[in-house]
Amino acid sequence: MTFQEKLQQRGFMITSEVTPPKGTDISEVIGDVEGLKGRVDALAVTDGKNSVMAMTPLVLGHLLQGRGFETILHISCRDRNRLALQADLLGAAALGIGTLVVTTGDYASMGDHPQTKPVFDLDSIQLLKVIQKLGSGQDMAGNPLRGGAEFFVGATVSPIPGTEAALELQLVKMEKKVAAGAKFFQTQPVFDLLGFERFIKRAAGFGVPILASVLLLKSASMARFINKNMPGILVPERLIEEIGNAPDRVQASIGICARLVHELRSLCQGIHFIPVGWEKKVPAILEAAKL
Amino acid sequence: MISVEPRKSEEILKSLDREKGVFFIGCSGWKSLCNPGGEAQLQRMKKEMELRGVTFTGTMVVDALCNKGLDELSLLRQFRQVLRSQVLLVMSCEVGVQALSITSGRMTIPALRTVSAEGFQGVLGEKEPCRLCGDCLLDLTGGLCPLYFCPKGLLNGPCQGAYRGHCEVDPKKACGWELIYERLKIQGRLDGLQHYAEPRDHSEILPLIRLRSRLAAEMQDDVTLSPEGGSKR
Repeated sequence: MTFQEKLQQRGFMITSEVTPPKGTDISEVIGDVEGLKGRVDALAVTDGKNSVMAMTPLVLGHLLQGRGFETILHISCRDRNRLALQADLLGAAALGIGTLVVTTGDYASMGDHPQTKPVFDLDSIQLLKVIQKLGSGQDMAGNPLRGGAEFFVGATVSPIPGTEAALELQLVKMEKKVAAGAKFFQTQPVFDLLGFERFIKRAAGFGVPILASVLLLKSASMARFINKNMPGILVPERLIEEIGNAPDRVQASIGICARLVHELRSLCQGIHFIPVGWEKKVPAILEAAKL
Repeated sequence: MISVEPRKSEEILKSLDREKGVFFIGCSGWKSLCNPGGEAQLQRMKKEMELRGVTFTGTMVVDALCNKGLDELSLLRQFRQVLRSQVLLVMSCEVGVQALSITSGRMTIPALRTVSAEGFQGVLGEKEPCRLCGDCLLDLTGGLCPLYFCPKGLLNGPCQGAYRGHCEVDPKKACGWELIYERLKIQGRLDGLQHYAEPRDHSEILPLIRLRSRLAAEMQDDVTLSPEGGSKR
């Protein structure tokens, strides 16, 4: 069953994030995800995440599909204008990649090429509308396509953005994304279950499946780094202490994630893992969470 | 100089659609510098709007709407009409629109679009910024320009990088969309957030082509009209 079919039949979804390598050697990436075969419904390949230059996700996604994984292609508005975005989307469709997650993209100054000119010619909602149009056999300007490009498209949302105004804005934008064709949502990493529940209560009305992101906390110092540098995410102090004081931090990490996954299961339609190099620990987390 | 052009009437009417009590305020500016049109242009636009069914609570022309002190004095002069108006239609460059949004606390709808400030080395109003995009959204964003307040220039709401109201690009600054949200909330116009902003028409936004054609035309006229005639540079 494909990702789309299972999601539409209201199955509980498991996806995992893959970050393309900085370089052309994909053996490490392949080795990391090998153990996820049969355990996840799809691998989501990121697009210049954190504004760090890496291989195009279009190519890695294609190579992963060749190795038997269904891939979800992330597509960000930061690096390409409307011509380049549409060109890559046609390429993705021709390669048989049919599922997308549309994102705005981190700002260029946050990555390893801070002098970059950020593009943002389209925003995520405008890009969703363009994808709808490609699906109807036309490019953005209304020219007919020889061979259409139909996609099953998701979008992202920040469920616990920290202020009332920000939550309202996220919900308004989410509604606009649904109207522009988003069929599912992937959230920013969740640590605060109460906050997430509050968000879900508000977002349930849109009737669109939501996959909660679970970020693997590898150490207390990583958690502190996230709190200091990663926009939109806050790791609670008690989790930092738990992993910091644990005799076996790998086991502690697996335990924290499994707990989160177990709790999130009753709140949403799926889990999206962000393993940041610990892909091999994902099966153990799924087992511990009884999934 | 600053170049302004009238906004399409359809665009203005879309913003005015449900409004009752529109006060029309224009700027006379400086002819050689910005030339927003003054009384004559205001009357032309007023007539066109009235033909399309818009009624105005009053009109006024101010020397320089970009000056907030002057705005306050002028609003006081006709405060009764202004109090009866929920929105101000503003015929000035977008700096004036923003200045008036602050001084009046009311929704301000731009009647002109600002497309270029090529060669302009002077001071633009006070703190109100304008990116001269020629495709103004100030009426839907509480008088704050998302191109300036959001580093990504997002037109349909915030990204997910802000945390507790701080922008991901510069955590010392507020998220521009949260500022817009708060402004719209005060104005009771949060429904503005539901608006879908179309992708920008960059062929309109880049003023260079337009400016170059105009300069070239002027240059050509100079050459043709010069008594020596033939000496083309």
